[in-house]
Amino acid sequence: MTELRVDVTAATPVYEQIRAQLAALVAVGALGAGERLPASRDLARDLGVAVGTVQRAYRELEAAGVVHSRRRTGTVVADGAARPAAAGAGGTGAAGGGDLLADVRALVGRGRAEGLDDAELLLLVRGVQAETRVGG
Amino acid sequence: MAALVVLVPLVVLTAVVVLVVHVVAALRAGPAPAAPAVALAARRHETFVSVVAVLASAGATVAFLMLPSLPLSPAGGPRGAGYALGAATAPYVGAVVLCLVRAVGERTWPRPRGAVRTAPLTRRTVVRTGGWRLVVLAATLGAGLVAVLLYGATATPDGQRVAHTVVQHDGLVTWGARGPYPGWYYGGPITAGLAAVAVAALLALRVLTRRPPLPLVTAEHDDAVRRVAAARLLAGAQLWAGAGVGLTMLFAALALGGTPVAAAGSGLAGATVLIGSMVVAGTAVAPRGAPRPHPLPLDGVAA
Repeated sequence: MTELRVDVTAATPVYEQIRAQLAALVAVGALGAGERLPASRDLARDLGVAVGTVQRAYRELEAAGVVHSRRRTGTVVADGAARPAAAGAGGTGAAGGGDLLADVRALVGRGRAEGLDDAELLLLVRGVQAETRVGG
Repeated sequence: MAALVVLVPLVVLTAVVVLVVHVVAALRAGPAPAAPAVALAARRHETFVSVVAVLASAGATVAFLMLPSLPLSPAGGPRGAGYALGAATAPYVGAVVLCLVRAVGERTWPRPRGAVRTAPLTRRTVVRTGGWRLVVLAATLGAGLVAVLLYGATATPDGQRVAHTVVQHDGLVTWGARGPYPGWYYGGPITAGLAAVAVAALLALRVLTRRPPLPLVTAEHDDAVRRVAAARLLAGAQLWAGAGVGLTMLFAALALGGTPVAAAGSGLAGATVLIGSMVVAGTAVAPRGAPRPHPLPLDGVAA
C-alpha cells in the first residue's frame, strides 16, 4: 500500500514534502497514469494538516503536468507523467532505459542492507551529483 | 415515573459493567514487548467501543420494550397491538443505537499527532470498508421492505390481521381473520425502522472510513483495525435488523396458518433471515486478526 509520510518539524515545508513524494512515486511508476489521488480534504485529515497545504501541493503538481484535476473524478495522475526510465522498467529492470531505475533500486537496496538511512543515501547521491558537476 | 424506576438501575448496571470490562481489558492486555503502544491502545479502544455499543443497544432495546407503548397504540385501539408494535420495532432501535454508539466511538480516535505522519494514497470508500457484510445487511433490509409490502397488501383493512377461510361443522365456508399480522399498522413503523438502520449504518461506516489513520503503525495494520471495526459494526446491525425482519416473518407465518403454502414460505424466509443473521454476526466476534504491528521507520521523511 503506497503511502505518504511527512515530518511537520522538518525544514522542508509540508506541501513540498507532499509534492516531492507524489512526483517521485509517479516518476518510478508506483502511481500510474489515470490513478486517482485521495481528495485533498481526506489527505489533509489523514495527515493532520490544513487542507490548503495539500491543495497547494496538488496545484504545483498540476502546473508541472504530473496530475490533472477534474470536477467529477478529482485529482488523477496525468498520462505520460512517468519518466521514460520508469516507463521502460516496468518495475522489473527491463533492458534499455529501464536499466536506470533498476540500478537505482539496487542502489537503495544495497544502501539499506549496509545500514544507511534514507538521508545518508540521499547525501551520497547529492554528493556524487555535485562532484560530477564540478568535475565536468 | 415507572419508566425511570426501570431505567435508572439499568443505566447504572450498564455503566458498572462497562467500567469493569474496560479496566479488566486494560489490565489483561498489559505491555507487550514487541507491539507498539499505539497498536495496543487501538485494540483496547476497539474492544471498549464494541462492549459499550453492545450494552447500550441491548439496554436501549430493553428500555424501549419496557416503556409504556401506549403512545404507539392508536386511540381506541386494542392495548395489545401497541405492545406488539413496540416489540416489532424494538430491534431497529437496538440497531440504530449500536450504530450511533460506534460512530461516536470512531470519533473519539485521537487526531494525528507527533512530527511524523503518514497517510495511504488509496481512496477509502464506505462500500470498500463495509465489504460483503454491507451487501448482506442491504439484502436483509431489502427483504424486510419487500415482506412489509407483501404483508401490507394482504392484510385486513385495519392492518393488524390477515383474512382466511373457515370451514364450519355444517360445511359452511366463512371468512375469519388472524393476528397479529404485520399489515400497514405495523408496516409503517417497521419501514421507518429499516430506513433508520440503513441511515445509521451508513453514517457510522462513513465516520469509520474517514477516521485518520493510526500513527506509528503501518497502513496495513491501520486498514486491518478499520476492517475489524467495520465488521463488528455491520455484524451488530445485522443481528438486530435480522432479528427484527426474521421475527416479523415468523409471526406472519403463524397468522398465515390458514394458508399453508404462504405460511411455510414466510416461516422459511423468517428462519433463514434470523439464523443467517446470527451466523453472519457470529463471524465478527473474533474476525481473522489484525496483522502484528510493525512500527514505521522514522528516518528520511523530509529529505
